[in-house]
Amino acid sequence: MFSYLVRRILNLIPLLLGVILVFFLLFNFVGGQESFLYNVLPAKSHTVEQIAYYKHKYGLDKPLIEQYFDLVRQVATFDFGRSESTKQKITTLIARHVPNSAILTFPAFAMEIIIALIIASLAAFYRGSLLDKSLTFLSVVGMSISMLVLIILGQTLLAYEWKLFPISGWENGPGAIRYLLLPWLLWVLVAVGYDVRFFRTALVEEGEKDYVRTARAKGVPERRIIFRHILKNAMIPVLTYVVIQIPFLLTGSILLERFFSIPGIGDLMVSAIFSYDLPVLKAVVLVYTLFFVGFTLVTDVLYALVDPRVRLN
Amino acid sequence: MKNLFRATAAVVLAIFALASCAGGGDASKKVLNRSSIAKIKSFDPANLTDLYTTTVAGDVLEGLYEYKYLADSYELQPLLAEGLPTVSADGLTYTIKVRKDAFYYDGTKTIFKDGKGRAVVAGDFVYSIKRLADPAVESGGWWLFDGSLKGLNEWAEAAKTSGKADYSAEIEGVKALDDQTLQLTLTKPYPQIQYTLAMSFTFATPHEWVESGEDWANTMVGAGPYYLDAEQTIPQSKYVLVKNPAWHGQKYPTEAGAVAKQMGIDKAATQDLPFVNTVVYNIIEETNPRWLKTLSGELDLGGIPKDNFKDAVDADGALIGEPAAKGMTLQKVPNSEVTYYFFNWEDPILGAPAGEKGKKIRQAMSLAWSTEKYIEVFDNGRAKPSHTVIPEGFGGYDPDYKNPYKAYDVEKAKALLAEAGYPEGKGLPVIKFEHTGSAALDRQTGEFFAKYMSEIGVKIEDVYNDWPGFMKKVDKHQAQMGGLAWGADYPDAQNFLQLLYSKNAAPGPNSANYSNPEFDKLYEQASVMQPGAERDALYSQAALIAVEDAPWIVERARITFALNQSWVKNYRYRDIGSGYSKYIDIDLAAKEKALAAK
Repeated sequence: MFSYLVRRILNLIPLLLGVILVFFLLFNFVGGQESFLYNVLPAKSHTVEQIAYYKHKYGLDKPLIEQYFDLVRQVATFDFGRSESTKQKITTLIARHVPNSAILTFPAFAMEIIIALIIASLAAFYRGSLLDKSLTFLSVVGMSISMLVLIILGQTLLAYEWKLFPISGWENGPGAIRYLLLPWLLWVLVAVGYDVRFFRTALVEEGEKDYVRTARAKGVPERRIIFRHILKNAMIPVLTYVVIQIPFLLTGSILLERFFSIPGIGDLMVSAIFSYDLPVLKAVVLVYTLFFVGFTLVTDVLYALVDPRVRLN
Repeated sequence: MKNLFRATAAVVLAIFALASCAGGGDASKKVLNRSSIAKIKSFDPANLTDLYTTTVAGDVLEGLYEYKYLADSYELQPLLAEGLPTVSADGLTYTIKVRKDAFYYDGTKTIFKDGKGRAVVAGDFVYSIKRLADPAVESGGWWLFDGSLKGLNEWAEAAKTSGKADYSAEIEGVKALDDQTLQLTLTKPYPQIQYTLAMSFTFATPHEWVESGEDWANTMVGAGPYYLDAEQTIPQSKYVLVKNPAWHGQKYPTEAGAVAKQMGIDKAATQDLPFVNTVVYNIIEETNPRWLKTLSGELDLGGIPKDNFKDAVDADGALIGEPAAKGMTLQKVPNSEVTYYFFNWEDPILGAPAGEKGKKIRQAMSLAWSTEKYIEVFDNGRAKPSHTVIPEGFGGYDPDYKNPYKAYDVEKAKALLAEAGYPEGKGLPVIKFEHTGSAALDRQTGEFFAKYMSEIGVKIEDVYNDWPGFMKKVDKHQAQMGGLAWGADYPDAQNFLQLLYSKNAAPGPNSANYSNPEFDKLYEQASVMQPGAERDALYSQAALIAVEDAPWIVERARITFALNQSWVKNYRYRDIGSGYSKYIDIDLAAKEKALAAK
């Protein structure tokens, strides 16, 4: 197991270098660095000397290969410098924004998964019935409505007209919960449809397996078949799905964070894009990458623990 | 099952109860709820370049001067200074006395442990100005002082060479003669310097604040009417400013101009400022929640989003719908700005190399364009056509003057084009119009302009850039024509006329690279004169030269539609200067009544 772990970690190095290279090429050849340069120059008046100064300051006058290794060094040391727009330390900015995204997304995700599982179980259990068809229909409807529409409806109807929630806002600490209720609700509404369909399929597939038929033939009670066998075994794809979602959760929900003034990492990224704050954008994208790569590693290791054949491959 | 249902219902009810309980707070305290449509950046005074951060900072930090709140035009009055500057006969030396009763207040209590700190001294302004020149600070305000003060550029050059600025070095042009006396010595007359002393870049900056740690600019230590406590460091979703107990104090002004009298905001004369104990800046970047919060009364001041304009304002510009029903007040204030389409003066077809022909093409294009129609279609009527480079209310502005090339006269435009040798546009190459963005509005604007030009046979090729891409072309003198805007930094027409001064050609602010020795001469003569009728006449003359040369199609000044709730008193929208929250009052009883009625 140890050698497998070492092998997997070593495999990450070329992967990360490749990701950094793609990022570097995109930002150099699709216009990022020039845009950044013209954004940091004083807006009202600038000089040729200032252009040269900023080029030098950000190493844009160095050969490309040197610029690439500068970027690798930044990732390796996790030192991205300061935001050009706000002058704040980027690692501090990320450290302050990631927890806010997590507070928004993790509870919403957990609630949504539980609700989706309950609905999917009902639909699977009553497969083919009116209830199943209705739930499937509602799931498709839920999947079809965009988050933006729901946000505007939610803020206008539920918050402004009916005063059930605050329109938007944020407080540090437990006070944040009041402002998170509506975003959580909207998250659940948007995500539940897709997950119900996914979980229902998993449950139905599991329910059609030979061992279930055997259990039924042997007269095992239906409740026991569902809860002890079908649900338990169907959890394998469900759990895989959940683990894969975790990096996405840490990266927040851009629309919810923007509309509800939640200072999360998604909001930080959008602000960095709007203000051409390349150092922040660079750091956020690379942190996203690290999340994904990290969780992929965790998933692989877990698989290897469960199934020794993975290690041999 | 029943129990499960009851438990679920209880949880849901609890959630709704939790969600709907209002923030409330102590009703005996007056809170002014404002919004900021963009994130707050750095509170470093030398880099207060964006309007939103400057607005927040202006309530905490103070400079030597500020603008009179109730005057019709923008007139300076002392703030941390005891009086207006004493100017030497040659206009080169400015002596300013700093008031003795102003103290810094540190809400974080880390620099000044008791909150109240030391007195503001003249040396703090020397420090502020030196910071603007320090290359390591990368100040966005340096251009205002570049080359203006004796020895300052040399000091900056030495800092660049040595890699470290020497703040202990004495500079001839920026001196503290004693704790209360600041002396500025200029390299040449620069009367606009007095306005720079009302700008955020020169706010009093205690060196202890800057030296307090690498994240010092995440909070503020100022001498203004409000302070930020330790909880309010950048980044936040809202910034809560609390009344400064150590503030030097100020009275509501007694002198009011006609506009202020008409608005009825001249009634609080001699009352102590500030009126409200707390000012809250909520960062709300999306228009929908901002608008809903304005309608719900959560925000005391607000604006009208473009998408909601027709529901809030009628064709005559009066409030209608929900804002009117809720008794809100609307102010319509033309911005101190000019928007314009520039022609590259170096272009062989449109610019100086084409001589009279180029001039006639530019004039023809100006005549063929209807700013009025643009304002109607794209601004919901929220703009006023401009006729010269000088905005309304500035010295040199003539309210009766009508630019002859802004008359929208297609026949006359065609005639001019024919005189230029391009009848019906025949033979005239396609003109590239560079846009600053590629959003729907940019594309619609591009098509709209091209449609008008097609009426005289001028073909336009729209080129959509992002802002940096656009600026790069402008800097390299490669933009044949493009659109830009300029907002006033200070209330002096020189701030606008400099956009056409040949020595300011791109990458300076003269994006058209316009060059006319006659204009330059007038600009150089007028810009060093003290304010007065003689100077204003020269400004006017220079502006008229630019009208005739037509390096720009002068466009418009947008109008800000500012809303306030019925319970807000003394609010006046000002687009130059900051620190105006101290004048605004909240009628708590009226607020309670109005909110209860909803």
